[in-house]
Amino acid sequence: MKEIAPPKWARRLLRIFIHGEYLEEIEGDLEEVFYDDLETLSKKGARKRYTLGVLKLFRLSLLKNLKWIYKIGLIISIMRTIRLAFRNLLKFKTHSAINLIGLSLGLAVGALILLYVIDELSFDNFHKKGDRIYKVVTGSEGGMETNAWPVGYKLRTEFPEVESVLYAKNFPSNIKLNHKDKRVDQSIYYASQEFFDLFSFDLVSSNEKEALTAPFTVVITESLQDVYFEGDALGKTLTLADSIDFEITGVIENFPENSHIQFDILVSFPTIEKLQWWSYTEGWGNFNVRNYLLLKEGTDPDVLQSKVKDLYNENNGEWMEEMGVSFSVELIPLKEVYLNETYYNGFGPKGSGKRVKTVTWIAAFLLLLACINYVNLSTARSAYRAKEVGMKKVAGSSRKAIISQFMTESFLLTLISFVVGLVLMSVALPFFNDLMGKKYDIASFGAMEFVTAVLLLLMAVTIGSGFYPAWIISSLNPLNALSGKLNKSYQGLSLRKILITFQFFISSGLVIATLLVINQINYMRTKDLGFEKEQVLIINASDAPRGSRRDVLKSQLQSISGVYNVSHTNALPGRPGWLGQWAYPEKEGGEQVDTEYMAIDENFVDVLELQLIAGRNFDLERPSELEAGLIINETCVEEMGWQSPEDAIGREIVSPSQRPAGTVIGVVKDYHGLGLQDIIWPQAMDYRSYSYGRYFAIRYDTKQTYELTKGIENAWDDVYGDYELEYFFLDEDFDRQYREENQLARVLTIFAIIILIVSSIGLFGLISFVALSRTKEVGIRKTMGASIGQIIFILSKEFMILVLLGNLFVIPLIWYYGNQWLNDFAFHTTINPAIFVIAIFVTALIAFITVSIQTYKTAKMNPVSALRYE
Amino acid sequence: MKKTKLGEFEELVLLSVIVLREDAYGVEIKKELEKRMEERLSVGSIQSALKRMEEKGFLTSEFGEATQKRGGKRKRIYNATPYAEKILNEIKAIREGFWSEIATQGLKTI
Repeated sequence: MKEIAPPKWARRLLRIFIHGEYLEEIEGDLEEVFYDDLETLSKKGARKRYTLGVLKLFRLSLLKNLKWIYKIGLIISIMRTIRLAFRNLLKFKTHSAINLIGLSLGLAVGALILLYVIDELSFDNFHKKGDRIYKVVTGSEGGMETNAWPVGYKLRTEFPEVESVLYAKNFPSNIKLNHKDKRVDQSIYYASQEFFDLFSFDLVSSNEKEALTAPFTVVITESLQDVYFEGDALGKTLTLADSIDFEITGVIENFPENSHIQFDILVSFPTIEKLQWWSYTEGWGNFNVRNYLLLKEGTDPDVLQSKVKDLYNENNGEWMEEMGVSFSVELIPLKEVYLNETYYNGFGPKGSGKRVKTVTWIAAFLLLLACINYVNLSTARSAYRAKEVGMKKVAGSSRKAIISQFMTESFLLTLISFVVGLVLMSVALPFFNDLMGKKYDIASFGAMEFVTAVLLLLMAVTIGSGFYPAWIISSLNPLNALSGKLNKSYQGLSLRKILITFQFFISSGLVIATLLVINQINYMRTKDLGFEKEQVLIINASDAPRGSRRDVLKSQLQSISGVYNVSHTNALPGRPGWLGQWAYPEKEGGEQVDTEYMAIDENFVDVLELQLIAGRNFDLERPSELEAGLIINETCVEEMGWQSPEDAIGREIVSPSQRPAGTVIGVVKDYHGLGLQDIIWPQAMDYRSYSYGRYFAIRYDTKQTYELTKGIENAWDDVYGDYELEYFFLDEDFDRQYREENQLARVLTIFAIIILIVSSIGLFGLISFVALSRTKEVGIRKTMGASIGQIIFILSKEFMILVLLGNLFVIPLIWYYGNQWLNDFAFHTTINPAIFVIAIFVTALIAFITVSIQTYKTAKMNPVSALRYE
Repeated sequence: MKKTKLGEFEELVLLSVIVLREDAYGVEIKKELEKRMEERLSVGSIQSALKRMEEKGFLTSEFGEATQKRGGKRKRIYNATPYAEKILNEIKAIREGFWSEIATQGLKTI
């Protein structure tokens, strides 16, 4: 009996369809019946009956996804709604197209910006103890990311709520990694062993306890290991600065892109004791160490902040008062370090909270304008759909059903727009990366956070665009709707006016803002800087050994044809001064003057074409002046309290740090050593430190730059053949300080254009409706003798007023915020009223062209057919 | 009101559950009904009536023994709830009321 079994396929069918809870019982029953049947029937008969039994089991109450079956009705009705939505979208092709263009542009831009914003906000959120980590910075004029030496020590020893303190310091920057004859720039930092207490970077090899504890040990990144060592680098030797050997005691995993800490090599902190000046407890005025804190759990950071704020005053107050400066200890939560605007990040990339905000606002506006197009067009169209809604209501449709019908339409359109938007995004991605300085690819679209955010965005857009029209249209009284008693543009007319005004408020606002930024950039580019940045080529010789070879190089460079003059200097406009340090010479009475101090040679003034307004330049014939002379700028004269440049000549400058100190022999006209964002600081230049030079500035007077660079390369190879030649042009390098502004201008230009397009096509769609609904009026006017021009004027008037109103409203706002933005620049243009005129003209012209195309069509119609309309 | 509804076939199944007591599982109920109704029934019809009544609260059930004949699958033994018995009694009373009246008037159509 065992071999005879019910047919397998029937049993399988049973298992697929029957509710799991009932399966065992029913299967058992069937089998029992089957074996009972075997006693009376043939094998075939029993099996047949079994199969029949299985088939008869297909009853609603026994099937698996019972609930789903009941939903078939619902699905059918949804399908019908979608089909209807499609028909309606196709019926009004122009409007669907307008909405499609607007929404897909809006969604593409919105999604790309979401990608960017999510990425920017995700910085440093992967550290396990992240919410307890704070960066310690120095609050002062401008703000410094580094602290005085004793601050970390005080925090470590005197505050019990601090669990550990990390010291990190730049390794002398002119050291490159030397390995197998390759010299490649590496970012190298000293870091104390607490690095691994604080941050969740895993060591790939070695244990955390030993890494960074002994002097002359380093931790390197995995990528560095891959480049310079075959396989495991642990225990191998790394030579830095040609001379110092380090043992590799750890290899650290590569950093995620979204970490504000990026480096190649960490040198153990005890090494610093052997290599350069250091102190845990001394040096309250020596700001060159970076600190991070790990707080004990349950510590209130605000309380600690208020306790540590005045550490400088308590320990070094007198000195600060004497210097007329103020410093405070500030704590920044780890997650805010990256986007913080005030404090530079010397450890890796720096974001900008302002930029994140700006682009978010712009994307929000763009989406809003696209939604407004939808709302305007749908409400304008409501009269044409009143009959449909009236019919439905009469047939018993609920308001909810009608709303959902209209919402489905807007959802469907949003969805289609998103698909188009996705294509746009993929196409625009390289451009977007370039604009934002990022490296996204198509795969970035797959990230969980991004997908979630985009879904929310789609929902928001659907509701934002669809809900109001759905609400309005569904509120129609079926009686009025069916009898056609509706005023064609009866509803939402005033709202529509407000929305159009708003659209042009935003569009012109962006146009004006763009013009403003471009204006300022042009101003900065073209303003007389006080020196001549064109036709100067710079060699960066920071790494090349100093000494007499420098002079050899200089004379070789001077002999190249096309070279007018060469200066060997340690400072350049656009680059920080002498090791980035300030000097504080005293004026009469002992008060100190913040002065930028530079070491130059006798050709500096000539090469940069600075203007000497009193005294004379350094002269090799006058050794005493080379030894003790100083050249200062006008601002310095003023700050020192001297009457005039002439008065300054022959005066002594005393400085506690010995530099700059000496007799003033010349005064140069003020020039912009930094970008126009910054004021001009007092400057003092001497000759005696000239051997610290880092750059060769070459003024040339030839158009043959190829020949020139060839000659320079030869000269360099002659003298420093084993070092890489690095050169650049001064004007490009100087203008790099305006990168932020240039980027802003590019972003604004692109968005202003997109937003203008979206507003204009919206207006275009709307006007076509209005013109259509006034067809009869136009016909009558024409028969009464109105000219086409008059009719265009009558039809466009209303809209042009709205466009102008939008423009007028935005002007005071831009005036206010524009001036605020400009005030961040020490040197800036004033807002030229012409840009308002230009913006009004541009937006009005675009609006006018848009409106006229439609109204012209209506106005040209044969009045007979116009009168027959309807 | 929906829950108190008891269909004609359901009523018959319910009655056989009560009659069969601890033997009241699918196949046995089927046999019992086939015997009384002199008609072939499918497993599905019995099962769907059982499940419906269980959902309405006329029946409770629990797993019983497994037999070799069932391929090692357990039976599910059904039990009528007191509520079911109450409803059955009510239905019976209603019917008896009708029948006693019919008895006095006599059946007009047969």
